[in-house]
Amino acid sequence: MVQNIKASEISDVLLAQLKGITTSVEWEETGKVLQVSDGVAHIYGLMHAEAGELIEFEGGVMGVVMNLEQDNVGAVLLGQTDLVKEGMTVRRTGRIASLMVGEKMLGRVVDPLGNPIDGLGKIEGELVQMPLERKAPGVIFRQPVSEPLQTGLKSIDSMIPIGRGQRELIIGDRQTGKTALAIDTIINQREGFLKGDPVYCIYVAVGQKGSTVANIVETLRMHGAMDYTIVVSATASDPASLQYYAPFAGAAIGEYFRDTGRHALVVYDDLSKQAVAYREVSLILRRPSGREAYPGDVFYLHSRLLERAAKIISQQEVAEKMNDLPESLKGKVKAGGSLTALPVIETQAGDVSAYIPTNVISITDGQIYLESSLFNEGFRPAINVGISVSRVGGAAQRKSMKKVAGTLKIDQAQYNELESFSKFSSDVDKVTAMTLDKGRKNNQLLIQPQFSPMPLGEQVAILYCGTNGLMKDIPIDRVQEFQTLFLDRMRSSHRDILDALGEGSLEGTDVIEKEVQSIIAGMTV
Amino acid sequence: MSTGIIAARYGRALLKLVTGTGRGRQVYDQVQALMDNPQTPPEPLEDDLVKFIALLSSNGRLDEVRYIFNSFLRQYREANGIRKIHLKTVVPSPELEDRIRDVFAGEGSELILSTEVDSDLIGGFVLQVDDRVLDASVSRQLEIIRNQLIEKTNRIV
Repeated sequence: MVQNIKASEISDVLLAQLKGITTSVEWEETGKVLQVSDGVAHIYGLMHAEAGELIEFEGGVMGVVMNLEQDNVGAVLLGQTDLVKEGMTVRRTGRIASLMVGEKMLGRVVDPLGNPIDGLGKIEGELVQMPLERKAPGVIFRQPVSEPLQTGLKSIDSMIPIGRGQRELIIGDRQTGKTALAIDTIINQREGFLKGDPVYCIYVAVGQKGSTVANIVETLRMHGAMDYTIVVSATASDPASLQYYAPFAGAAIGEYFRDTGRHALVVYDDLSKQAVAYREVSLILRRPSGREAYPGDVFYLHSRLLERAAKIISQQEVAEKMNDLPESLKGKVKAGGSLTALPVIETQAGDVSAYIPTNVISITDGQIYLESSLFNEGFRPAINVGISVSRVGGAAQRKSMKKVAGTLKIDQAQYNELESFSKFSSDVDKVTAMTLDKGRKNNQLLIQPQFSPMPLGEQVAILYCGTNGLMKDIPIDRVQEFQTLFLDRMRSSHRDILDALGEGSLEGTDVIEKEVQSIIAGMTV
Repeated sequence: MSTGIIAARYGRALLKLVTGTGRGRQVYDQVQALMDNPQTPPEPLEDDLVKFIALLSSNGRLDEVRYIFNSFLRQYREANGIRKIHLKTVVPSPELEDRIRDVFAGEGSELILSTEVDSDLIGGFVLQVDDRVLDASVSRQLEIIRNQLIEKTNRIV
């Protein structure tokens, strides 16, 4: 039986634990449940309850106070509705809704309250209590975005660069690859993780099917991404309150890494479903509804969530005084961390002018717009570069990429315009024909299969070929083949150049040109 | 959204009405009986209460009746200095009741004391005064210890 005894069960340890236990009796404030419906309870009493406070029902179901009215409170239930009955006693806990976060959470799947739901047992190790709702860092605790967050996707890293601490919206219809884009970004962080510059990732699944979440976790695990990723899941079968809190839980976990001086990336997939869950809760709480029946504060819902993504100032003594710091984090704060947010919004039939999409577009620092027509043409990732922007990421782009891809966006815009004109006539002048040819080939270069993120050095090298017209002698249907040959050659014989390009220097372009010539010569034989 | 305001206003109106007619205590008892046992209303209902329910009906506020009655009960107790005390014990304990009466006697307020025997408590007592609870039962203490052990050792006990 000795093998069943754990190290933590030594008498002295047990004694120390028991010494800390108090059983002092205290007056508690209680209320009575008057009404329960669809995950919301109206409680009489609880006169001194605070907004956002956790309350406990008989039998252990927890709730969060949402509405404070004259002599009654409205609360959302965080558990099963059928366990709460009329007349039940409700007890105040005096705590704000929060979850426990720790290093051992990496690789786990948790619900919005931090309870593991992957069947791998309790989360061990030191845990820190992080409140779900927390004020974003103030202006003096922030710093402009300056380091790049590589997505591994050529079209994004070249034309819509994302910086650490940025909020970049991924928007598009259903089935356009929004989740795929986010997952690719998470998978691409593996390189940095192995190099010792990790970006911890948090994937928040809101209102998705349980099977979809399981698939995503499996995909991440297969690509070795679960080593640095936490999945927060509130599936479609969870109460609306949990779906509403899931993104806040993701932000709270991200803040733990951000405030301890590390870099984190949080994907909210997706915020339209969170808005729908919040609408449900608000309507049951009888809050007045506004446009599209969303409550008046649905903008505030998303703005306060996304404001929590930030690049923290690098001065330690300033960062330590950060506003609204939870008690449990005091003394652990390190400067220079960041939290990048990639919120996802699903549009209906490409309508970006609906309520929630316009709200989130105006909150974020840019958007990546995915189009189903591009997707169906086989142009994947189906990013419409023309209307996708990154308002702050340019400052964080590596110099080599900036130089190589600087004109790519304008070139592609020109090509798209010419392309639509050239449909009317077959004979075009030489310059136009060249622009068209280059544009078509660059488009081919930007096509990238799923789950195959590309290191920055390789991206710069191949885009150098595209933007400098080095592929003019290659037929359009052999561009992909050229790309494979070229990158293989570079990897095997010029790894130092690829590494240098990835670091930001633009040396060795003459070698690239020479290699391209020899590859083209080999291809045409 | 405005349930609380409606309940407080109607409750105050009923309180003023019964203070005027002087049937306050009878109405209070009947409302309390209605809340405890809505399926068997007391017979005959007080005139004031009948009038009040008719008003609620004509104003379309019968949906909020539980909130309104609760608010009235609280306001009536506050206005007349009544404290509602509920005592739960494992075995009937007249000595404890007397002691509680003594403790609150000094305040000069009227006490409505109800008792309940509940063997699930294992030991000790639960004292509820208005909406505050002093849970000194053994079962609650065991629960507190259990929760603290879970928090400390990070393991389900």
